Amino acid sequence: MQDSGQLGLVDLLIESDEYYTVVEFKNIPIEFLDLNGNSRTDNAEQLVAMTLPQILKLAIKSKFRAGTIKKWLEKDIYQQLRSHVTGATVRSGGADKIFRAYAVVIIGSRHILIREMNRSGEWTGEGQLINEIRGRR
Amino acid sequence: MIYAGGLTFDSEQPSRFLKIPNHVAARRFGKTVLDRLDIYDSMSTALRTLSATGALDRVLSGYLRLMRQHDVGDHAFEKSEADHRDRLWTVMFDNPALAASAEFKVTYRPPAPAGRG
Repeated sequence: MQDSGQLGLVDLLIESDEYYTVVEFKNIPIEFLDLNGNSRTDNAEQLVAMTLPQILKLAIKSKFRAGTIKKWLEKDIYQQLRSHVTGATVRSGGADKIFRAYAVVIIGSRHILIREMNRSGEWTGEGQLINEIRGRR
Repeated sequence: MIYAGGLTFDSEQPSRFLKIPNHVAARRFGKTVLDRLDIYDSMSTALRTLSATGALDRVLSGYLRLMRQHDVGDHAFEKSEADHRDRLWTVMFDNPALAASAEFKVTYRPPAPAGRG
């Protein structure tokens, strides 16, 4: 594949002494999710109770995007993160460090879905929902 | 714990002291103590994990908690991608071990053919 040389924007780049971490952020507000509550708060309660398979099957109700969250992740988000990961800037910038890249999807302000991509631009595993940190008591 | 290799007898005073035999066992001890005290999952340890391993999930776990507490009421659900990204970025900037850049300019390759991934 030829490098296009076009410029893009990675949402978040995090560097430490050893690691070069690229993050592609996505957000789908709760009003664009196919939930059947009477209010956004009702929908938020429904959403919190949903499992990963249920969330992946959720339809998106937006004039800008159609299909399910799974389709969005596996097509648009995959392609965008892959284009950054395999582009010249990221390839050279992270050359001397351990490389990590993530798609991070905020779903209705109630869930965070994360999926990791390797340096070759392929998913390294399945997506997973982040569990809430417990914090200090 | 001695049978499991978590502790061995002290070489100089084996009848009085036990010792942690190696670095791996020491890390397990440390994690277990922090876990028991419920401070292993603090944001500061999450940030150290990110700095040391590049793994983002623990930081996101903290952000999820913040988001669920903060984003209540109708207008709170209207946050954009940049709102979430910037809020997380602010949290991470508290850690001097990390250099984070938002909207970082990169070159990219054309999209892959449909159906991949």
